[in-house]
Amino acid sequence: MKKILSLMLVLSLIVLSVPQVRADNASSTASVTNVVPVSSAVAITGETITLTENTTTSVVVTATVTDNNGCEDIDSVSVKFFRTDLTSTGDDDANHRYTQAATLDTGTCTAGGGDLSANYTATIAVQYYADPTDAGSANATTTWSAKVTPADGSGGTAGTDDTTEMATLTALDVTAAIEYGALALGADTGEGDDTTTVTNTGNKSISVQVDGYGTTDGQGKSMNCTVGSVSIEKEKYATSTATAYASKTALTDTAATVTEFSVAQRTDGATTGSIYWGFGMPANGVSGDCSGTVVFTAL
Amino acid sequence: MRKSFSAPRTRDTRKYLSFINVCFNIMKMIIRKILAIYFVFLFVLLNCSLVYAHDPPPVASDVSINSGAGSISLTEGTTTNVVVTATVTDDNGCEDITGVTVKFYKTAMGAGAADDENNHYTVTTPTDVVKNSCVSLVATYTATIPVWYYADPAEWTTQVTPTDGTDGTASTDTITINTLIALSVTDTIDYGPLALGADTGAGDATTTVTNTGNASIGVQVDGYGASDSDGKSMICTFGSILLANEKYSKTASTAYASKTALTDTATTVVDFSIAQRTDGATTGDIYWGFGMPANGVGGSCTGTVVFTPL
Repeated sequence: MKKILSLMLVLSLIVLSVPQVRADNASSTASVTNVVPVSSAVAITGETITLTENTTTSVVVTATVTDNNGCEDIDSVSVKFFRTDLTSTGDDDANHRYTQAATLDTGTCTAGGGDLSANYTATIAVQYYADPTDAGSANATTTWSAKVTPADGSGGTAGTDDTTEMATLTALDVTAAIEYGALALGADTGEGDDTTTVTNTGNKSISVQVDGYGTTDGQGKSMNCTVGSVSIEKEKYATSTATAYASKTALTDTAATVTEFSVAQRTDGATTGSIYWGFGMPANGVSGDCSGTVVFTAL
Repeated sequence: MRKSFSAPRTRDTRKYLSFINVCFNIMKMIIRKILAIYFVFLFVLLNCSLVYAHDPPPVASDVSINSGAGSISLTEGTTTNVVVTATVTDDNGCEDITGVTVKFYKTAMGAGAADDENNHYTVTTPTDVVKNSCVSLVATYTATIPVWYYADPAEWTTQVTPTDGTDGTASTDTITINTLIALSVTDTIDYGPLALGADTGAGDATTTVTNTGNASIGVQVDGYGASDSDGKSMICTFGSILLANEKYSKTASTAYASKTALTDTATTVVDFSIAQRTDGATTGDIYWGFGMPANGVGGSCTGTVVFTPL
């Protein structure tokens, strides 16, 4: 017990005799002069873009972005996809210029500052009426370009653009049915019209060809009825409304161009045209329900 | 019967002698009265002197520093209150005590030395020495002495001296003031904006080190980015910077390349010391430089430099 007490006393004296030491800290600060990020290896997936009628087509643009302050410093990456001759500058327009933010490819930018570069991908929904630039098109002398511009807090520098061709898409869509209703044997629709609305669903101005058949192409019928069939020339069309049946143009078994009829490339709202149909029922030999097919082909 | 006259006693002579005799008696009576008054006065005066001579001076006792603590730990950069308590007894009653003086001094200096914040303090009633109680002959006092952080580390004595007009009997106690090795530094080492791959050259960011203890000090430095031993000098918004990129010198305008690199463990700054304060604050400057990596860092960077006194 005495030894323990002695030891405690000695320890106490040692503790009491140790000088107090008080350190202090200073915070060190600096800021890194910014270096703007630069894009490189810009690539548009596919040498030629083939659009999808009446809807959008995804165009994928990839790029590498390098920031010497570290890839984490990259705030955003903007991709401009544009008709080359119209430049990247200007408002977006579905016919010729798109802007899309690119996203970081997972796992391509390691945190901590050691990773200077990262990969980015932008998926651009290009409308079916984007200007074609392929051979034979109205804009064959130009191309489409992708410009990738990264940004940190101070901006960024776009690398070399990649280019591609936009394929011409010649396409249309029509209202589903031409409905003549009930007609007596030997009667026709006179000046009455049954209207087909043709919508341009491609990226060029189109003309339209029409031909028809009852059940199979090339059979020379316009409709097949419950009993009997109706020859092709009984079905007629005009580009003007209220044209007398006799003055309308007879449908043919092979595609024939509808004269003086075109539907422009869409620029703003959908572009459409109307074809007016008439029908003459044979004097005999048919009865019941009749149905056939009219084929509309864009040129 | 007086026989100094021998002339024949005529009637007029007798009358004259009778008058003289009356006057003599009156004078004798007056002298006796004066003598009586004189002796009474003398008696009273002697008595008063005896009473005065027996007024005992107050006596201090039971002096204690910080309730009997063995040592005092000062507080860096400021004062530490040392509390001295004492009992004072006055046989004329504690109300007779007119003051108490408390001296607190490095024992080696002696009580008679002049006040000096390094080694000698004096406080008195009523400002710094407060009477706590006064019952019958005994009063208790508490003195509060603000002792500066640079008071010498040594054995110190407190001397309590009461007075009732005449200094009474003093009493003392002793205690040890511990060594305080301490410093404070200016808060920030700011290098400002630096381009990737650039350094501060011969430019300096200066840290002023102030000795806030009671001994002459050397200084050790080490650093870290976010936590001790992380090997970094700063953590940036993006990336981090190695410790070796932060450098120091005790000489202003030393080229960055010639400065000494900061390390992860405390390293003594060579030939650098700051004396114990005696009058004004004692300080020293350390000059810092920084080199930005060629790439991999961005934004704002912050770190910590630890200054440890020796």
